[in-house]
Amino acid sequence: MRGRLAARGSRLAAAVIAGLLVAGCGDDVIGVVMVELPFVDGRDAAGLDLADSTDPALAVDPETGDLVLAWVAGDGGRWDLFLSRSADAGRSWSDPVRVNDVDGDIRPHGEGGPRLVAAPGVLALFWSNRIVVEGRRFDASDMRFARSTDGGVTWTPAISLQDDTVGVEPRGHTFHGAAWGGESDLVVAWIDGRERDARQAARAEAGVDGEHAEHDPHAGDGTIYFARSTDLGATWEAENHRLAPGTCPCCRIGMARGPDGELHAAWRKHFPDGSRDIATLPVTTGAGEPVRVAHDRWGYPGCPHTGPGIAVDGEGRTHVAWFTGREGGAGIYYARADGNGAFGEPLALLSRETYPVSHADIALLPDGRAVVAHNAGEDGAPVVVVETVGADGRTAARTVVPGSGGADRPQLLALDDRTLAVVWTDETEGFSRVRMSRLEWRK
Amino acid sequence: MMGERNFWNGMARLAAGCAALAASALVIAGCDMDATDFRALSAGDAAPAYVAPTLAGDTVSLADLRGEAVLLNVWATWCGPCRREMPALQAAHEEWGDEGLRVVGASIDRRTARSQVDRFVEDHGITFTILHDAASEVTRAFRTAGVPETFLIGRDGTVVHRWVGEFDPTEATEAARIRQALER
Repeated sequence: MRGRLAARGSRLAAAVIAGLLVAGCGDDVIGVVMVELPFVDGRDAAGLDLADSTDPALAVDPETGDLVLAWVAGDGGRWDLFLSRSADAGRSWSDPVRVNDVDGDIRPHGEGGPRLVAAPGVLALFWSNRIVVEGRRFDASDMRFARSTDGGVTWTPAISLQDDTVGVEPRGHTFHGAAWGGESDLVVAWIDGRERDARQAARAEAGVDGEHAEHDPHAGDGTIYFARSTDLGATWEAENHRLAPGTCPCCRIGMARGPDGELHAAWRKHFPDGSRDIATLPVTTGAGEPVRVAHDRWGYPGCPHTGPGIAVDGEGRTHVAWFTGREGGAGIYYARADGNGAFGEPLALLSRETYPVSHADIALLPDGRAVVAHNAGEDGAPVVVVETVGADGRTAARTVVPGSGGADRPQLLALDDRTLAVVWTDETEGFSRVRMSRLEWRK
Repeated sequence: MMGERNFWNGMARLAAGCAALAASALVIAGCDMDATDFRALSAGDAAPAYVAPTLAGDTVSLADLRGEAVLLNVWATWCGPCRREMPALQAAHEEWGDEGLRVVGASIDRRTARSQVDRFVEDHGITFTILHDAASEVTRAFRTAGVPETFLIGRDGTVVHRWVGEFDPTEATEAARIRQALER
């Protein structure tokens, strides 16, 4: 009881501090409340073993307005995917339901964590599993999918959506983004290893060691493929679609729906000059060449493991937030494409000579202002920072979310016209825990 | 009169309190975007203090390794170049370990990936020291951006060289750097 009271006391203190922070920065956030997630603190009433929880995904049910949360939980040996929903913006939650029908059919992944999509009458979850293949450098993975038509109470048996399953060794299908396209379209796009594996096989056949790609810096690039359903996931088109080659192979894809129903993807492209910068492209039409969001020219000969966040407003303007590690300007950036589709000068939300890899997500307030969440603290320590970008796209006001030290991969979601939820994985104290806060904006 | 003085004293204290609160709020919230410098580490810099747990559960501190040359490799199981360079790091450990080179691999895999780190180390026969730095403290201490990055630290605790991306310590140029560090 004393510990619980102490915890409540510290949360109250955090709320007071939050008020001071908000006042100090003069932004439009007027309140930050830590949301209690009773099911992520040890074994819960339903008897679920939740020693660790990680990789959260958020959505709002468009029919009820309920907040829906999915996450991965397990004991270090086996991992499963769970879901709960809240009808009161996180004040109370339903008992968790396990989504995956096959035991342990998911792995904690961080950058390739589950994606939750809420459409009218349907909740859809997309995740990657882990397939150990002897002799393969990386574990392979399937692009798994299940859906619920009763609000998350029951789920269909999971299926795999990639079409390269016959006559080949398992490959990688992960780092995915997913979205509802309006009407009855569902799309999931992922970084696919089929072309990379084919290139490496060809190199091996030609006598070049496919595992050592120093002669071709693009030998390890991935390709974006996507799967589409036109009946909200009841069935899927038989063949996958190829969207873009030359992708950084280990950074997640962001995806967002425009006002016309078109879906837009953002990802870290491996440009011919060696840069690993952010690009966007409409998904279902695949029209034109990828649009470069900014010329960061981050030529990193390794693994960034950090993809962008994307949102599209009611006027069709694309907003993107991302991390770059380019020395001299490493940090978190925001850019917006107006009218003609070209992106304006990026706004540096945090810029340093160097900075450890961090992660950014983005959501929009109904008035069109962008809100960026990232985990790049001023002193280099990971903490959730929420930045409200001004209507001109040139200024931002920041709020540090109290109690968010050790945060990894914050995700944002607009709940209504003045409330957003931010959820992240807490990697402090020798455990992993999903955490959430609710932020209120001045109207 | 006394009442008026008390009133103004109270107001002054209130104003001072508000100013202090506002100042602390500004500092805590980090409105000043230039509060911290993050200059990249380079040759000649003192290696930062760094302590992390090993897979066996004990801890290794760079300070405790003073007097040895250290090859500190920042890596992760999900990183292809990291996995490719591991055999060469193991070869460096075998080649120069008796001469005073301490090869240390700091995995920044998250806590939930611990079993994958164990499996990788076992599958690849790695016998040099592997740290599991799930909080990625090494990336902040050494101001790295991604993985892999590797630092050669001299016996006196200064940074001798930094490699960004995959490298081969047994390749002639890199081997010469390591030998030179061992001879100092």
